[in-house]
Amino acid sequence: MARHEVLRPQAWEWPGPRVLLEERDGKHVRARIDALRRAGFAVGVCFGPTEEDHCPLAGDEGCAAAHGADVVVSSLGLESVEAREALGALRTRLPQLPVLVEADAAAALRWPGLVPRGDRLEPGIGPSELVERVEAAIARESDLHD
Amino acid sequence: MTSPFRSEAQAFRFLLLIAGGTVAVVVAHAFAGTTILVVVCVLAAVAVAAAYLVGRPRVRTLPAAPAHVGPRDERRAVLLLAENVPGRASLAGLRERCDRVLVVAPVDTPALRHWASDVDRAREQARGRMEDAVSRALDARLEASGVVGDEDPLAAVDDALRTFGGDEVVAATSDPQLLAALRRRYAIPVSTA
Repeated sequence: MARHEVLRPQAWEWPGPRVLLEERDGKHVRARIDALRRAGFAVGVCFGPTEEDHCPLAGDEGCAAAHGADVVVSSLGLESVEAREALGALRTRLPQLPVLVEADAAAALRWPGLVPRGDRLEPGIGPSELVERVEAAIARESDLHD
Repeated sequence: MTSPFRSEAQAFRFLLLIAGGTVAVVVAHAFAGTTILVVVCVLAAVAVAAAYLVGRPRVRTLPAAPAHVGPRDERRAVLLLAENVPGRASLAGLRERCDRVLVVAPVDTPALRHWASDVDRAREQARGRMEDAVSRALDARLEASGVVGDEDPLAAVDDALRTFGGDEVVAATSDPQLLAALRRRYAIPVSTA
């Protein structure tokens, strides 16, 4: 029997707007964390689901870290079934949550439900541009609620 | 509190297993000899323990970090005194990359003293280590202050990050497990001193 996994929501004991980075490899993650933190965001990092460990969002239990986030930046790609399942679960369970997806244009066209227009980030987006996009997503979301 | 079960269905199956084990023990007690009763008891206990351990949730900690605190280009470090007080060379290295340091000395409470509520001496010792480290940091021309923290080093660092902020954690420890736990927990650089 596969063991159930709980993601500890310790990230969100800290105040401030919260960004959950979903990153498969650590190539850009350090610079992105640094830029987001200096822009005033608390940051949590999820390295994504694997074949063995499915995303808890896709199960009954949900993911406390995703539920507590103000923005999710998904850089898991769209190639793997697990990554698409995680992104689909985010879109379904948390439809109000801004989710920015790092994906090339062809992949976004192939899965438009997962990457709606305006939510796509260019692959390899720089840290300062990422901060701008995150701030814009939060502003857009708060405009919708005002 | 985190539920030890994945779902209500799993909790119900666990309850059924306990009920089945109890019935087996009662039947063995009524109709079999002592040896068989002991074997049934052991088997029932092993089955219940195995079901609990297999179904128990595995906790994966997401590395995370609070927002930067202080002026945008200021770099802060939390210096955790887990066992040692860092030497001058370590502090000089820290000065090269950090503007401010918060020294955190967890209260090192042995279990016996903890149960006897005798934590005052441990707290005083932690304060002494902290003051010693702050003094060394000031000698190394670091802007430094210090606090006595929670007896759990991770909780002590959590508290420090919540109030002081911190762009990196420096742990004065030779405990690889503590270092690994810090690296799993925080999405900022963690190094040793």
